This record gives sequence, C-alpha cells and structure tokens, in this order.
Amino acid sequence: MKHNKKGIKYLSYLVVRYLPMLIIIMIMSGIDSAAYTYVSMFIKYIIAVLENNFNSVNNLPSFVINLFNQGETKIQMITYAAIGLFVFQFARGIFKFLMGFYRQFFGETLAKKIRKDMYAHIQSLPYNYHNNADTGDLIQRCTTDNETIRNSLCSQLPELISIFAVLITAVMQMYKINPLLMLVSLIIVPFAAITSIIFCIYVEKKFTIIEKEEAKLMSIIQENVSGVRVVKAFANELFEKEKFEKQNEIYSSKNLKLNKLSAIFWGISDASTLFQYLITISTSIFLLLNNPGIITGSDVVAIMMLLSSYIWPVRSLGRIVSDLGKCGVAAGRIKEILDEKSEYENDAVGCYDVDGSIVFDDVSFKFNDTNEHLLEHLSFSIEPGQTVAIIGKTGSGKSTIAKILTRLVDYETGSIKISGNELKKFKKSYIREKIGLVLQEPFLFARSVYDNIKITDRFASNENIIQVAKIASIDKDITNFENGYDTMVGEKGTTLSGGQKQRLAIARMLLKDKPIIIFDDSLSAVDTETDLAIRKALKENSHATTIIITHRITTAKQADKIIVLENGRASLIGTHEELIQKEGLYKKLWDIQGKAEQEFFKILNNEEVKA
Amino acid sequence: MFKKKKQNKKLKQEKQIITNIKNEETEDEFEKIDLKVWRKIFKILIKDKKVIIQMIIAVILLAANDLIYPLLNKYALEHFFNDTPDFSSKWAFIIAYGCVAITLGLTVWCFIRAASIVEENTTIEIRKQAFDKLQKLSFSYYDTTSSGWIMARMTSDARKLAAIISWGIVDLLWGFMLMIGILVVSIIINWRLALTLVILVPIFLLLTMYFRKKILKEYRGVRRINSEITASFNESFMGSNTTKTLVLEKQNELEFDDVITRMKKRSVKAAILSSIFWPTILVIGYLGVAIIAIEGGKFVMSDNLKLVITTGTLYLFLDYAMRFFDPVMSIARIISDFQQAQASAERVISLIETEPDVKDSLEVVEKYGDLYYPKKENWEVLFGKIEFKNVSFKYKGTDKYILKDFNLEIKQGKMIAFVGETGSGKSTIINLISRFYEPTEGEILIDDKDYKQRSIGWLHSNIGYVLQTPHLFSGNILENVRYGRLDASNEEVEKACKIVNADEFIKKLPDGYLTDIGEGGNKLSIGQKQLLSFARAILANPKILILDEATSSIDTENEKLIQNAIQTILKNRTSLVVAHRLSTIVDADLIVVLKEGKIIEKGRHLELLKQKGYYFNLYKNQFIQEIENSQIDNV
Repeated sequence: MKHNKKGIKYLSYLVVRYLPMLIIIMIMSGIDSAAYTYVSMFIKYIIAVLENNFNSVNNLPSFVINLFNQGETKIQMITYAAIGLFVFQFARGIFKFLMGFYRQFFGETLAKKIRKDMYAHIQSLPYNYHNNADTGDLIQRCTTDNETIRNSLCSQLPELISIFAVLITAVMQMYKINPLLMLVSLIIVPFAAITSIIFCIYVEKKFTIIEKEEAKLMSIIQENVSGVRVVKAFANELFEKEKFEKQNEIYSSKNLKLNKLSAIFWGISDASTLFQYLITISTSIFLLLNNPGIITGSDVVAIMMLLSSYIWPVRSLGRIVSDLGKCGVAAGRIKEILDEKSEYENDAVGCYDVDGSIVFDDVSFKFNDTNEHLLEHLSFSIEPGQTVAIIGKTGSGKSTIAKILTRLVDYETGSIKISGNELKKFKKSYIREKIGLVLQEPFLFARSVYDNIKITDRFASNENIIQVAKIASIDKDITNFENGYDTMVGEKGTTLSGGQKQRLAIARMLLKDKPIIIFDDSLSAVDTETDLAIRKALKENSHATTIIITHRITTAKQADKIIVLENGRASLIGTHEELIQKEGLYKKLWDIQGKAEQEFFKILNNEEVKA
Repeated sequence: MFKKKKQNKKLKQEKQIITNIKNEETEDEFEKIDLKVWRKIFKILIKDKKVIIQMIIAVILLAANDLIYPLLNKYALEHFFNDTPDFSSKWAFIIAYGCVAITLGLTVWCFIRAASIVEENTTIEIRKQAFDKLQKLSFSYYDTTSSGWIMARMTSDARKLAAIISWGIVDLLWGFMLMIGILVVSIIINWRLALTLVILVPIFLLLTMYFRKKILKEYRGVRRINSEITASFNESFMGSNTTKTLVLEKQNELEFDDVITRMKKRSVKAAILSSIFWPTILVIGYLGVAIIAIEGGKFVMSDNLKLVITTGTLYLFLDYAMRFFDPVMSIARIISDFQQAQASAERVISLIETEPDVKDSLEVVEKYGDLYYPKKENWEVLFGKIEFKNVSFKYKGTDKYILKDFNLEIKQGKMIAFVGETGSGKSTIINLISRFYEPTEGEILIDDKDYKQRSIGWLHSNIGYVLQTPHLFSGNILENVRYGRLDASNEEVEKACKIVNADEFIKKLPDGYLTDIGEGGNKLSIGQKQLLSFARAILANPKILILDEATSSIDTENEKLIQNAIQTILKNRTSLVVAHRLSTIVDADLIVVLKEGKIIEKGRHLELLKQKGYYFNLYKNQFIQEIENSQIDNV
C-alpha cells in the first residue's frame, strides 16, 4: 500500500510532465478505434445497394454517401463504395503507422527520462545506502519496473481509451439503426468485462505462487549443477533426482491447474460470444416477424460487425486492468529509490587549498542505526608530506577514518581540520578529488585495463599510464596478459586476483596528483615484497601525505608516525622505535613477528614443533 | 481465436520476462528447419500420444467452427433478412446456432486444456531427461560447460520447445485448417471470387515472414543495448564506493547518457518497422475486400444464372476476406518460430544425448549395479589403500600431460598432504582418486585392484569430500548434514555436529537444527558453512577422506574450531589433503611436494625442511605471511 501511494504520486508527476504527448496519443487511439466502427458502414452501403434499399440508414457523413450515390449504375455505386472503403482503410493505415510510431517514441522518451533520473540519483545516494542495498532488487526496479510503467502509459492506457471509444461509437451507430437491437447487443458487455477482470486478477495472484514454485525448482537445478562435486562425492545422485522430480511435478501441476482453469474460462467466454450473436440475430428475426420491413439485411450485417468490433476489446479489459494495477506498484518501487536522500543534500561549498596537513581533534562517529561508536574521542595530527600508518584489529575503526576523510560518512562530534579548514566545510567532490583513496576491495569497471586506469584522467598520456602502472607494480602483470593493456576486466572480462585488483586501483589513483593519499588496507592481498616495492616507488615519485591503514606490522614499520587504533581510540602514537619500547598492542605484535621467525629457525634446528 | 491465444500467451510471456533476467538467455538466429531434429524431439519428448491427438482433434473442430458460423450468418441473410423473408426454419436455425456456440465453447476448452497438458508434459520431460543426464555426466562435462549454459537449457530452451510443441502446433494447425477451409468453401461456392483470396495467401505469408525476421533482428539490437543499460545500473550499484572516491559521477552520467540515447535511437528505428507491419497487412487485406466487393457486386447483379450469387454469399466472402489474414499470419509466425527454436532443439538434444566420459563397464554394472539401482550386497569393504601405477593424465582434446608416469603409494589410514603451486597437479590427483576423471594411461589401484573393476557408486559411497568453498543446499541444517548419509538418524546428525563443534552455534540459532539456511547456505558465515560441511563428511564416515583446504582466512573464532575439526575428521582413515594450513601440513604422515605434475620432494615435515629445497622456501614464505595476516586479531 505504501508503494501504491508513492506510485500514484510518481505517476501523476510523469503524466503531468508528458501531458501533451499523452493526450495526443490518447486522442489518436480514440480516433483510430472510433474510425474502425465505420468500416461496417461501407459494407452496409454495398449490401444495401445490392438489396435495393437505397434509403437505408447509414452513419457515414452525408457528403460521402452523396459521392457514392453519384454512381449511375448499381455497379458503379458499389465500386465507388469499395474504393471508398479502400481509401478509408489506407488512410487509417497511415494514421495507424503514425500512431504506432508516436506511441513507441513516447515510450522511449519516457523510459529514457526514468533511466536518466534513476541513474543520476543512484550515484548520488550516500555510502550507507549502497552498503545496505540489495542490488538484485534495485536493478529489477531500474529495468523491469521502468518497463512496466512505460507499457502502462504508452500501450495499456491508450488501449483502455480505445475500448471505450469503440464501445461508445459502436453503440451510437447501433442506436441509429435500431435502439432495441442496440440494447440487446449490449447484454454481453458487463458480463464479459466483469468476468475478464475477475479472472485476470485471480490469474495474477496464482502466478506469484507459481513463480515461487518455479524459483524453488530453479534453485534445485542450480545447486545441483554448482555442487556437482558434493553430489557425486556423496553418491547422492538418486536422492537429487528424486528431489528434483518431486519439485518438477509440483511446479508443473500448479501451472497446469491454472491453465485448465483458463481453458474453462475461455471456453465459456467464447461460447457466450456466439450466444450474443445468436441473441442479436434472433431478436432481429422476431422484430421482422412482428414488423416486416423494420430492418433490412444490411442493418443486420452492420449490427453484427459493430458487435464484433467491441466484443474482443471488452474481453481483454481484464488483462489491461490487471496490468495497469501493476503499474502503480512499479512506480512506487521506483519512487522509493528517488525519494532516498542524496548525499549532496548535505554538502558544503568550500574549495580551500589542501597542503596535506590533517588534524583530528576529539572525533567520534557511529552509524545512525547502531549504538556502537566506531570512533571515540580520536585525536591525532599529521604534517604535510608525512607517511602515517594506522594499525589495528578488525573492527577497530581503521577504515572509518578513511571514509570520514573522504566525507563518505560524516563525523558527529569533534573537529577535523585539513590544512587548517574544517572538513565539513569542504565540498564533497572537491575533497575527494584532493584525497586519493584506494579501497581494500576496489571495483573495476567493465572495460580494458588501460581504460580502467585512464578513468581518473581522460586526458592522460600513454606514458603517464604506464608510469603509474609501474609505480603500482602492476605493469609486469599487465604485459603478461595475452592482450596486455587491452585486456578486458570487470563483470565479463578476465578475473584478476585480489592483489592485482588492488594494484590496478593504486595505479588509477596515482594518475592525478593528490596532496593526500590513503591506502585503506589496500595492500592486504599483495605479498610482502611487492608491498615494499610499491611503497618505495611511491616515496620516490610523490610528496603527498600518505596514510596507510593496515593490519600488517611490516607495512607499518617504516612510517614516519604509527597510530595504533583500539576500539576507536588511538591507544599509542609514535615511531616504530618508540612503540616497540612501550607495552601495548604494537609491541605484542612485534614480538610475535619476531617469535615467528625464531620459531622457524628453531624448527630447522630440529627442536620440538609447536603446532 | 487468435487473440484469445495471444492473451493467454501474454500472461505467460510476462512470467518469462521475469525469469529471463535471472538466466542467461541465448539469442538465436533464424535457422533452416531440420526435420530430423524435430522428429527426434518428438520421439524423445512425447510420451502421451493420446493428448496430442485430443489436441489436434480439438483444433480441427475449432477451425471448422470458425468456418461454419459465417455460413450460418449467410444462411440468415439469405432466408430471413431479404426482400422475401421465409421464417419457417427459424427455430432450426436458432438451435443450430446454439449448438455451434456450445461446440465452440467445448472445443476451446478442450484445445486449451490439451495444449496446456502437452506443454507441461514436454517441459517436465525435457527437464527430467536433462536432469537425469546431468546426474550421470562426468566431471569433464562440467569443466567445459558453464552452469549458466546448463540452466538456460533447463529454462528458456525447455520453455521455448514446450511452447512450440503445444501452442505452436495448435496455431499452425488452426491457421492451416482454417486457411484451407476458407479457400475450399469459397472455391466451391464461387471460384472466381475465391481467386482474390488465393492470391492473398502468398502475399500475406511472405510479408509476415519478412517483417517478422526484420523486426526480430531490430529488437535483438535493442535488447543488446538494453543489457548494456542493465550492466551500467549494476556497475552503479557495485562500484558506488569507487565512483564516489574517484569522483566519477559526472563522467559516468555522460557515458550512461550516451548509452540511453543510443537505446532511444535504436528503439525508435525498430518502432518504425514494427509500426509499418500491421498497417501494411491491413491495407493489403482491404484491397482484397474492395476487389471482392466490386467483383461480387457484379456477380450478384449478373444475369448469367451460372454466375449469379446471393447477397448473403457476397457477405460471406467479405467476412472471410476481412478475417483471412489471421490464419495466414498465424502460419507465417509459427514457421519463423520453428526456425528460431531450431537451435534450442539442437542444444537440448545435444545435452540429452551426451555420453558420460567416466562410466562403469557392463560387467561392473552387472555385478555392482548402477547409479540408481546399486547392488550393495555385492560391494566389498573398502580399506583405503591407494596406489598410482604409471598414471598419465591429460584433458580430453588437449596435448599437454598434466601428470606423466606418476607413481605413488598411499597406505591405509595415513594422512597425505599435497603441496605445490596452482597448476602443479594437486587437484588432478584428487580428481583422479575420486574417479571424477580416469587416468589417460596407467591405473589406479584401490585395495590392490584397479578401481575401474568396481563401480563408481561403490567408490563414492566410501569417499568423503570436503571442499575449499563449502557447498550447501537450500533447506535446514539437519537436511544438509544428513546429506552425508541419507539414512542417518537425528541423533547421529547431532553427534556429527558435536564432533566438529558446530553444535554450539547451531543451538544458538532460532530454530536450532531446523533453521533454514537460505539458498546455498547464504544465511551462514563461511566458517559456519565449513563446519557443517565437515559434519556432513563425518556423518558419511568414509574410508577415504579428501580435504581441499580453504586458502582464505576465516574469522578467528571459527578458525580455531575448524582446525580442531580437521584434526578430528582426519583420524582413522586414509586422508588426502590439498594443504594450505600449517597445522595440517605439520601433522601429515607424508608430504608430497608437486611441481608441474611431478613429485619433487617427499617426506615428513622436518625431513623436508632439512633438505632446504623447494618445500623449505614455500614453507618459509607462506608461514611468515600467514602469521602476519592472522595474528593481529589474536592478540
């Protein structure tokens, strides 16, 4: 219901925005369908002429009738009418083409607009939203739900209009021929409309159940195929087969049950259509019996044709109504995303110079939906050009620092000053351009390695790109790929190892000069030697303030300053030499590291092994 | 009739759109219809001929109905609605009309029902046979075939074929019968007027087929761009953090704008074509109507008694002409559907007819039974001695030997660790022992007898297998652990879980052992999944246990539990470990160091270290790194 309310809001927004186009389409549909009912009048004219009923009722405009009547012989009159019919249908064909084209054009315009709005909005949604999002569901909203709205507005709505147009015009024409026959011919309308709507809504409901059964079946197959080793290793093929066949039967029988029901529905529906014809014909017969000459053969023909022109559309009312119903839900699901607050609603405008100094003063942070503080009263300072390592356990709040500095999330209390200016006063996009952050699990876009590096600077030269790849120690890996820098990565491309991804991300970050660089555990999948090589090359090529967030003591060791983070607080700050003198986490780690090496040599000396 | 079926189908299509998103949909070109393939499909898939016959009869009746009621209208015009009406036959007429209406209702009910049954039976049968085959196929098949491909055969192909065998045939028959019926009736009544209809047949057929192919091709291009759009949306979600930190929003938006603009252009282009199609048919159809009206008019007024027709007859012709494109277009549509489904049919046949590479010989099946009907009473006890005798192995269709003249003896009840880089042949050895593959040359003896002389089922019933990435099934914990031995009691399952220390976390879950763990066990952590897969292996109590250790570290708490579990699980059986964990390696009775398919070092841990060779270096690098990576959280 929540969806529906939002959906109506969004739909009305779209309708208002595209009102002129929508009105044109609806008018066109109405005209086309109304025009269709006049086909019967041409046939009626021809039959009437052949039956010598020259004065029989005809709803064609009188100038058209006069034109036909100019024929000198009956054959000429018929020929004129037949040509008239062809010209009429030819014109309708052109009109239909224009209408069909315009409808699709409108649909595309609409779909494009929704796509564009959604894409832009999704990109602007805050870190926290993306972190908790169910991607599959969101993609469905961006694609299927958009399609549903488009279909509703550009085909179902016009279809609905045309049903009414055809019904109204046909009824009016019938009325002129014979009011009684008109009334009799309408008997089926409420019956067909109501049963069709009830049936379609019922089918829709059943489908959701059937879909669930199908999903179950699919997951049985999927799990069997992906777990083929387990199935075979436990010799459970028979068990799997039985499990599958059971679900296969359940799914199919439910499907079949619904189909059998729809067979009954269509059977009754079709029979009743013929009964309606029968009722109309019988009424005509009895009318004639009592009042000879009150109607002619051409009248009956016209009424039968008019009857069949609305009987089909009315029967499809159910499908249209149930589709339109889905449109509200789809619009609601889209609106829900668009209503999420953009992270730029809470932005500043500052674009101050950044020289690389960072001061944390009593900073605390927690996510809104938890009570646990990830950072608590954290204070430290970093000079421009310094290399600072932040070391801590999983969950100590290390990564939060990187997210706060790039304003992916905002700190609550305390103050952070970058080059003397309060961080919250910086424009988000500006500060992110100044701070190069490499994530632990970087995302590569579906394009070539080369373009993935180039993504941060579209005007970068070839040399520049290779240079940064060399600094990040990924150049050799890339040249070893079969297609070198043209190797496709991402979704459908080559799968890179975690370390390769991290190094590629480092390279792309380095392409533009940054006063501050942050490695958020982004050397974790790189081996110790390469880690060292990257840091060495960086030092030679960059003067940026470098923050290295790590859990590896050898990575932290050489930093100008090491900050040991425990439970969101800086428990120790100092250089390696200072910290190994003080009791605490750092010393313990260092001792273990030493012990590990010692132990290794002990083993070599053939002593007892401690596993 | 056309529209009703379309409506029915429309409901179906919507359902398909949803599933198509989930599955890899293959876009098929139009191919020549190969009758051999279709004959095979019918032979394989149609088990119940009665329903097919029922369906065919119903459709023929349906076409007859569509033919008859215009004739009734003609009768009415000729007898009741003319200058000299004769109402004597009115009751007979009304009763006849009522009968036609009732027959129509019954035939419609019957044909939809029969076609649905055929459709469902065919889907069931395709899935059943494909699944059955999948259980029998050997590992080499899964190595070269993606699960997406297999899923697509079971979903979109199965559906496509089932639809064409049921509704396709219905449409084709109906269209054909009605078209022939209309032609025959009109030729009998007046062949001169019927001529126009005859000429229209090839025009409609060719036009429809031409447009259909063109339109489908256009929309294929549209769909391709559409999948680009979906991919862009996907990237915008998956890469949101990267986009933000690299400030790529504007650039991404520009690129996206480019894609959606292309989409619009392409769709609008496709729209031109599809909007032309229907009006063209309409205009041509009414050209026919106009010609018949003029010619027919002349015949009505003709003085020639041989040629003269009634107004009712003319109306009948006009009525037929106005509805004639329906059956003809239906035929054209189904022909092109068959062309499009050709590839599906071939693929489904190829899956069903694939022969497994690894299978038991007839003698073995005779003695030990097959996969579904094992003769367990003939199975010998397996003790667990394994011997590789001059084993060479290469993958089918390749020239490079992964193993060459490989010899190794594994004593009963020992624990062997295989160590080496990726591609050194570790997993091949494991796969060969599990008989997922068979040696290209040489033989593998289990308890001193070539394992090909015993059944696959016998071996697999005695082997336990714990994977690097634990694979669990949808369902609850009880079911998943019981997968190790299907006849195990609840108590036995619990006992197995206790042995690997999984019991503790399971009891904390809301429904304990009955907790639903989601698809693939996704509601559990990797560590918990790992523990369950151990419990499952313990329950199977295999004589040979294969353990493919995980390389990635798991959360500390579970890491300890898992180490303990490994210790327990490896006891008292022949165990083969692809080792990554130090503790496992250190405890091994024998460490086999592999490089490029050859054993380069072999021995116990300390012996190997003392050699200061390959193992020494491997161990040194790995050891130091492992300590660094994991220790911080343990302090």
